[in-house]
Amino acid sequence: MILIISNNNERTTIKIIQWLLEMQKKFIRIHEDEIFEIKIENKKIFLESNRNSFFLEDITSVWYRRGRLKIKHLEYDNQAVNAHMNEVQHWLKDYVRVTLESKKHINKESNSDINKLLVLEQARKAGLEVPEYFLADNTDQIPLHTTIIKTIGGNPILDDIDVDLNGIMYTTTIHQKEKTDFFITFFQNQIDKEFEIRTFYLNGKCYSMAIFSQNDEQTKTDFRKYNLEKPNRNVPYKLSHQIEKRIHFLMKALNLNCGSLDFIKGRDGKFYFLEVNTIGQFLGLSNICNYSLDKEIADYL
Amino acid sequence: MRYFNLFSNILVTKGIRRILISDLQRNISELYPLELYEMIEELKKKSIENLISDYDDESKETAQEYLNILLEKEYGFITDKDWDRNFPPLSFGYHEPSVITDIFLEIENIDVIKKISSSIENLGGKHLTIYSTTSLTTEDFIKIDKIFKTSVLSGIEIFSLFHEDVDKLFIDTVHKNTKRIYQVTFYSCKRKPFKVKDEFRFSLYFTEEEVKISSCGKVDLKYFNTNISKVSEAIHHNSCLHKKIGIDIYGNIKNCPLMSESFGNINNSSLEEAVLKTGFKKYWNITKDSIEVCRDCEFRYICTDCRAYTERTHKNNDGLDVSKPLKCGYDPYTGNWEAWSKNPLKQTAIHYYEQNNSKA
Amino acid sequence: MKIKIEEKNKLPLTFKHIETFRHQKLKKLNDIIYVLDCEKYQTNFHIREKPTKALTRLI
Repeated sequence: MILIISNNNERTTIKIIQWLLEMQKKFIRIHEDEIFEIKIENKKIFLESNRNSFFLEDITSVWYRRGRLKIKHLEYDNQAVNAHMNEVQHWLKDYVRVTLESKKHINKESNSDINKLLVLEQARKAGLEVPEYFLADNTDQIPLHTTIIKTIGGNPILDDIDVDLNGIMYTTTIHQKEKTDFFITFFQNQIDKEFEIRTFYLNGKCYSMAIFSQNDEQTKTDFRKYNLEKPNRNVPYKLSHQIEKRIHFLMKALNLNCGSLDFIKGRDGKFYFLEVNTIGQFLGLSNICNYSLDKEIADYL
Repeated sequence: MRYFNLFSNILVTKGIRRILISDLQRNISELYPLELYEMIEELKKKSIENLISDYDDESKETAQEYLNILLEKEYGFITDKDWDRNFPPLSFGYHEPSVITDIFLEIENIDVIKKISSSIENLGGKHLTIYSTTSLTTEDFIKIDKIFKTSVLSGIEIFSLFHEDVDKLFIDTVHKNTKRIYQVTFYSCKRKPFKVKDEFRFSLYFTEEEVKISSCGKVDLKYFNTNISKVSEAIHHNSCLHKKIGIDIYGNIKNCPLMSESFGNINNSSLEEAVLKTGFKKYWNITKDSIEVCRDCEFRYICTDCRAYTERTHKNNDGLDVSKPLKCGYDPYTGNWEAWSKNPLKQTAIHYYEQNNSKA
Repeated sequence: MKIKIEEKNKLPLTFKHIETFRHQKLKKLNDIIYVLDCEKYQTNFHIREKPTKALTRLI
């Protein structure tokens, strides 16, 4: 039995479910608003929500797509009782989560958020080329026009930052010095690029796509500023065996078996690693390059 | 030395007289002369400088112009010293989990729809096209949509006979009470009841044409599509019949309502049973590359085939009809489009189908 | 469009370069994505889609 942890509104999950049905693989789909209770039946741990129920031991693989597995928590009136029961419940839930994460899986809830700074260090350790980077709170020593800034936060989107307005932090090139100090910001050497590469990694296999964003002023620095009128050229790409091996080392070091990695191929011929996303959209890459990643995922689960 | 690298999602389809270049990312196809095909092939073997120098002075300019077009359209990119060998070819594999993707249903009244709705769920159907020989009321539209309230279907298209009740209020009612319908066409409509603006949750068309179900099978530029899904299906399978099921007005289950062979009737058999019958899938892998004339046509991967109406001139070793579609007026050997119905060579086949229609 | 952010504490330089976009005001009805209920796929967000090829050629 495959356990799918997802949101109700998740197109990718539907695609995989279509394959699971064709392959006649049984699955349970969990939505973000489902709350499970841990129960015991026939001495076995049983999880039940208003939509689903399953025995923990029946789960053979887990796909953590989005959202979370919510488990009900009981509060008690007496302070001492409550403190004790917090711990008891914590260990029960912990047992359930750890057991699930020890099964065959694609991604885990526990490491779906990763530290970008630590990732860059691990990438270097794995032998990948990383553009020079540093943290700073002033622009005194920043070379202008060849340095970019980006957020070390996971989400570059700021919803409702102002009345009827959303904000987004694209990677930006710094062209002028700042007179005052600011909060610690991530700076990185801007690479003169030939094209960018996005690689979907799944259990040791790499599926790459090259993105030619250079010629379009709009997408030159951050290809996510999609030019909807004339989309960047995106084509299938194959990284060298050496780089794919290093990606594998990195993913293992990060304890990830699935994710999207971003690279730049510099005009100097080198491949620079930028970042890895654990929960990203890969259907676009899969469709453009016709990789059938939805089928690959269903096959693996 | 500079080298030209053609992007792998640029598909060049060679016809007898010209080529079609399909951009499978931006979903556009354009026609070009055969000599561009030659040049593209040569650019895979020679550097740009060597290629240009091989041409005589007159042709050098043309060659340079072609190269400019290729770069302008972003059909390829240039590298130094060698081609970039890290760009693998695009896979044209077609992978579709559903057993049946589209259902084409001919009806007199909507009662028959309920009979097949659970089969559609089992088969994973994606699109349902309903052709009604009678006029459908707002209740009919709403009932049809309701039958598929929680269905796997991604969309429903409906063709209905026009009637005087169809006015703006009628359409508004359908608009407010349906969800899955993405396109509605009223045929035999002498005068549009109102000016159609882009304001409904489905596309709306009124046509004067007295569309019959036998009107289907037309091959026309307006029905051509360029996209990876369609093209990869066309390369490996029959671009019309693959994963399609049709039910005619008598409830006979066929590959398409216009085909003659039946695999059961919905009154005593299910769609699932019909799909499993021997022979149901026999046309599913007849590609354009195995069809007479079409195999030489530059449009063959973006066009849609028709096995229901053909010129009835060729059969393959398995006895399957591999003749060119009857209603295609394009001749790849001349590069001209003509009115197919007036073609003297097609008259025998046209008469054949007319006889068969009147018998049925 | 620049936004005015008044904060006591310092912000990273990334805030100076935020790009803004309005809550999506639809340009054409074509831009709307219609969602459907689907029991088999267990979702209320099954996306309504037109087919990628012409399924019938009646007109």
